[in-house]
Formats: sequence, structure tokens, C-alpha cells
Amino acid sequence: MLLTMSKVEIVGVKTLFFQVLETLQDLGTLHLEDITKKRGPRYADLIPMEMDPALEEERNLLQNLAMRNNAILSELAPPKERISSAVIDEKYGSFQGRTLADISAMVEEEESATRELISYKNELEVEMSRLSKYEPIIKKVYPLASKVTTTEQYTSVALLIEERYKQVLDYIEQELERITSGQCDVFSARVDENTHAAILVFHKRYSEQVHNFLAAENVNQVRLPTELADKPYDEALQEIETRYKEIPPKLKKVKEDLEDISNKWYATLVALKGYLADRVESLNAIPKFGQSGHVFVITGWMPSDKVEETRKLLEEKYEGKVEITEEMPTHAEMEEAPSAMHNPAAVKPFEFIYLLIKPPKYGHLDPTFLVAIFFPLLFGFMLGDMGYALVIFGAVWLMKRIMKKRESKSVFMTLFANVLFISGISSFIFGLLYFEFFGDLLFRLFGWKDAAGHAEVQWIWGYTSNGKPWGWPLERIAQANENLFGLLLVIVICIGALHMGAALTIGLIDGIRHHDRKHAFEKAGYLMFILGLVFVGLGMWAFKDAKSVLMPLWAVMAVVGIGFAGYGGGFGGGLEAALTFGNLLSYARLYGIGLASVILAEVANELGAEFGGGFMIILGVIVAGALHTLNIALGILSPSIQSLRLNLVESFTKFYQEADVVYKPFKRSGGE
Amino acid sequence: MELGLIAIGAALAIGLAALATGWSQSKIGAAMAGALAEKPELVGNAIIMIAIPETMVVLGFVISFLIIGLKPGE
Repeated sequence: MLLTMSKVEIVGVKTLFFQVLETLQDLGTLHLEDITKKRGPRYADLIPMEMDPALEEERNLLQNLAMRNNAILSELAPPKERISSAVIDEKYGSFQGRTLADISAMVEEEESATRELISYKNELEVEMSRLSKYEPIIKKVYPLASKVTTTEQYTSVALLIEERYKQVLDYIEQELERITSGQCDVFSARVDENTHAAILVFHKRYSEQVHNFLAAENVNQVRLPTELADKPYDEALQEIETRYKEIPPKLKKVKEDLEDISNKWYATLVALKGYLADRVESLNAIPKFGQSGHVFVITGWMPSDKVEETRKLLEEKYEGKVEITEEMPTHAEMEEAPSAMHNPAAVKPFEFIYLLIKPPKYGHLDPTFLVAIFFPLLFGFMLGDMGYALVIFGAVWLMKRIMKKRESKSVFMTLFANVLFISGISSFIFGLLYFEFFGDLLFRLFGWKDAAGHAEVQWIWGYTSNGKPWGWPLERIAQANENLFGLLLVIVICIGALHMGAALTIGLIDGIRHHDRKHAFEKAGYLMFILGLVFVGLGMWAFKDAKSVLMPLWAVMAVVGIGFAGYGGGFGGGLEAALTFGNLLSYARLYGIGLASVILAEVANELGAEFGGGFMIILGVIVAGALHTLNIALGILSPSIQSLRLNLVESFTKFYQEADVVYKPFKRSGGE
Repeated sequence: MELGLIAIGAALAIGLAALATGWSQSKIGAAMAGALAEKPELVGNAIIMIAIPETMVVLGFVISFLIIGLKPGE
């Protein structure tokens, strides 16, 4: 349901403004309104508050500190031991009494303690990553290079040549002999299956010609870091090898030092991050407020049950110098009232739907309870299988465990896990109704199927008044029993009628509550049309031979419904009423998707059974298990999306109005 | 009706519906991918939009199942 909101005005002595702002931020219940956008005599004499240069400077300083603090935080790894929110709150509180100069000095101290270490760590990491590129080359060329000794007049070049082109080496050797007039030497060896390494040693005076020749021939030269490029290969590689070995212990030491700092400072830095963000946010809010000569004025909305509590607190803290009054909002102001939801624990997970659309508009009914009823119902109808439900419970347990382990606070994952759990319960109940456990596994194991593959057992059975059989278990693949097939189709259409009917009833109530006669007529028209059609359909299915007097009445009701919808919504309304029939029929998807799921499950069992007995049974179980896994994945995805679609498209479009303003209280958010 | 005709009818019901769904989803999917690149907050709408044409194949499947249920000669 939506919380009842009150429009409030807080007026107080200007000298107390910043204290009151802090109190309101601590309370975290007031949704601020921009007073400068208010029109009317009440606001005519108010002057909008402005950020004076001193406040601007303060905000710049706060932003600068926040940036520096965040930079330190991003470089430090969180301590292994979890920091409790109580510790962070305590540290946060300690900042409230401190001056900005104090905090600035603290940030500077942290910076000087970490700056050098962080920059040294970065240097080492860059160096390590640079040298690591040479590691495979070193491994290949070093054994060969260690055999080569060069003098000051000689230099060397290393080459890596693919095995299939190794004959090129002879050509290179001949050309090198020619260019250097014999003042050269070539060492080569096969270093792995596909590579030959070669080191060319030659007199320095021929360096340019040799390099030009190698470039012209497109030979793959081994490049070394620039600072080592002038050194002979053996020396250069040795130096790289030495440096490569020296870095890890140095890096380890730096990381340990940073870890010590993190253990000491991390909680303080996190608290400071939140504190600075909140201070900036509170300064940013200033232009939304108004003032006169001696008083400040803050306007906004808060849940009605919080007004009294806030009044008492302000009274106690400021001894009557600050007052809160409840205002009677105008019609236009009501349109801007923020909407906030408060649902019981069982319904709350279904608020996930508002991750996809905006919450409902203030003053209208909150349809979350409708989603909480129909989402699991539709899901269970489609994926009704006791075995699959158990797998879902397992998956939810695993998700929650992982989230707990990772201390994840993801709203989406929490809601998703809870919705999946509730949907799993529905899936289990429907599974019991269909008596499906991984498809027809139980029927196969206990031999409850005839040669044609149809269930032979029906523990509860009976006849409708028209002599049509029904029973439990309700066999979903009911080709052998056309009446059962018809019954399931009738059930899905009835579910659809209930779902759409509930949505239309909400629309009708909304129309009546807001004295919107046309809106109410339109919704009532749709409702009459659907109900009329459903009763006619039900009558034809269950009482085909009965000459019921009610049947023509239902038909008339459906036609009158189109008339009402036409009156309420014009030509479009009348047309929409007729199209509602299509929407209703589209609930047949519930049966279609369920059927696809159960057929796939049976195919999995059939394939598994094909492997026969003995050791092959293991293979059969693996194949069946793989197919069931695929079916469960599809089974969760498809019913979720279809259920969501039925809620959003078939149901919500009948009444739903999205909020223009969502309740966003002015509170300590820590910049989140 | 002949068994073969029943089978062809069922195959057409699911096959054509699947083709239509695939074609529609390819168009919607491409458009939504473009929209999401600019406005990631539309992801909810994207899922719903892409799921809408699935109705065709699901209903095609139901009809196909109904056709298969027909007995030859009926």
C-alpha cells in the first residue's frame, strides 16, 4: 500500500538553519520541495536562499576533500575483517563536531602516508607487467644468450624464427657475412617445438646496415626495453631476469604496508566518504529553501505518521524556535505528492516490478498485492512440478548463501531470490495438483502409465454436472481426455478473467474515489464485457444442453459493457473493450508454456530410459539430468517473463498510473 | 481427416507461428538493443517488448497440440 503523506512547512529562526538542516538529514523522513517553484500569495514574500561565496567556498573544499578521500579509498583494499556498520556510524558521528580545517589536515596526513607507497606500488606493477612481456622471450633466448660473449666493439641482435622457416637462417648468415665482411657470428638453436632462436653478433660499425637488412627482410627481431636496447643481448637478458626476480618481494612488502594502513584507516575513510557526500548534499539543497528577514522556510512531504514525532523532536531540541505545520495541499500540489510504498513482508518482494516501471502515483491504489497473488499463481500454473520446485528451493538457498558470504546488498538479487522462493512454493502446489515430479518420473517408476503413455491412476475423480470427467492428478498432456484438456483451457481463461477483473476493479475503484465518472464507466464496461463473456463461455462448456435463462442475460451484459466502455472512453474505449477478449484468450499461453515444459520433461525421462539398465543407467541419468536442467532454466525464465508480461500488459494497462514524483527523503545517504 | 494432413496442419500451426515470432523478435530485439545503448533504464520495457511476440508461437503450439489430438477420419 502507499503511505499517507502530509505536506509540511518548517519555519524557524535563521540562526538555527544549519542545525535544523542537520537534524532533518539525520531524521531522514522529509522529501524536500523546491520553494522557488511555488506560486501563490503564501510564497510571495519569501526570498529564495542563495549560496553565498563563503558557502560556495565550503562546498568546493568539501568536494575537493571528497575527491582526495575517494582517491585514497580506491587504492586501498578493504580489510579482511568485516567492518560493522556500527563502527562506521561511530566514526561518522565523530566528524560532526570537527571543523573542516581539522578534517582537511586528517586527509592530508592520510595522503602523505599513502601517496608514496601507492605510487611505488604502481611503479612496481607497471614494471612487472612490462617485464612479464619479455618472460617468454627470456625463456627462449636466455639459454642461447648465455653462451654468447660480446666485447665492447661488438653488438648483438636476437631473432625468433618459426621452425618451418628455419632455412632462412642460412640466408641471413650468408648476407651477414657479406655485409660485415666476415666480422660476425651466428648462434642458433631450437628452443621449442615451433621456434628457432638465433643471436647474431657483429661489429658495431655495421649496425645500421644489419638492422636495415633485417627490416627489409621482415625478420622478427626480439625487442628489449629501450633502456637496455644498447646493451649486448646476454647482458640485457640477464638484467631483465634479475629485475624480474627482484620485484615480487618488493611488491609484497608494499602491499603489506598498505594493508596495515587499510586496517588502521579504512573505516575512517569510508565514514568520511559518507560524511562529506552528505554535507555536499545538504549544501546543494540550500537553493530549494526560502527566507524572510529573520526566518527560514523549508517545505516538503513526509509520511503522516512521522509528523508528530518530528514536531516533538524540533520542539525539544529548539525550544519553540522552530515549528512544523501540516498544510492542506491544493489539487495541483496533490499531483506532485511523492509516492512511497509500505507493504507487508510477504508482498514486499514483489515490489521488484518497480525496478521495471515507476511506482504507482500517490492517491491511487498500490497494485503490489495483485502482483503478489498473481505472479506466483501464473508461474506455478506454468511450471507446476514438485521436483523442479525442490530445485528452485535449492537454488534460492544457494543464492542467499552466496549473497551472505559476499555481503551483497543487491536489492535486485534479494528481491529476485524471495520472489523465486514464493514462486517455488506455488510451483510445488501446482506440481502436486498435476502430480509431476521431474515430469512423469513417478508415474514411470511406479508403473502408473498405460502402453500409450497415459496416466492410469486417478485417486480423486468425479463428473461435472454435464457428465464430464475430472480428477486428480490433473493430467496436463491430456490428449486422451479431451474434456480434461478443455477443463485446463477453461481454468486458464478463468485465471485470466480474475486477473484482468481484479485490475479493472482497481481501475473502477480509482475512478469512483477520484470522482472520475467517465473513467469509472470505462472500467466498469470492460469488466461487464469480460464477465459476460466468461459466464457465457462457462455456461456453454459446463451446461451445453441447459436452456439457462441466465445465458442471454450474460450476453446482454457483455454488449452493455461495450456501450459503457464506449461512453467512458469514446470510440477507442468501445474498441478496447472488444479487444479485451483477445487479451483474455492470450492467457492460453499459461497452458501452452506449461505444456511445453512438461513435454520436455517427459522427453528427458524417455531419453534417459532409452539407455536401458545396467551401467548404461548412469548415462541415462546424465542425459535426463542435462535435459531437465535445461528445462528448469527455460522453465524459470519463460514463466517469469510471461507472468511479468501478463501483469504489466494485460493487467496494469487497465488501471495503472505511474508516479510523477517518487518519495526521496533528505537523509544521510553517504552519496549512494 | 488423413493422419498426414493432421500432421502437416500441426506443423504449419507451430512452424509459421515460430517464424513470425522469430521475425518479430529479431526486429524488436535489434531496435531495443539500440534503445538500450542510449537508455539502459529501458531494460524492463525491453524484456517485455521482446516477450510480446512469443504469444504467437505459444498459441501456435497450443493449436498444434489441439490439431494433433484430432483422430484420423473425424
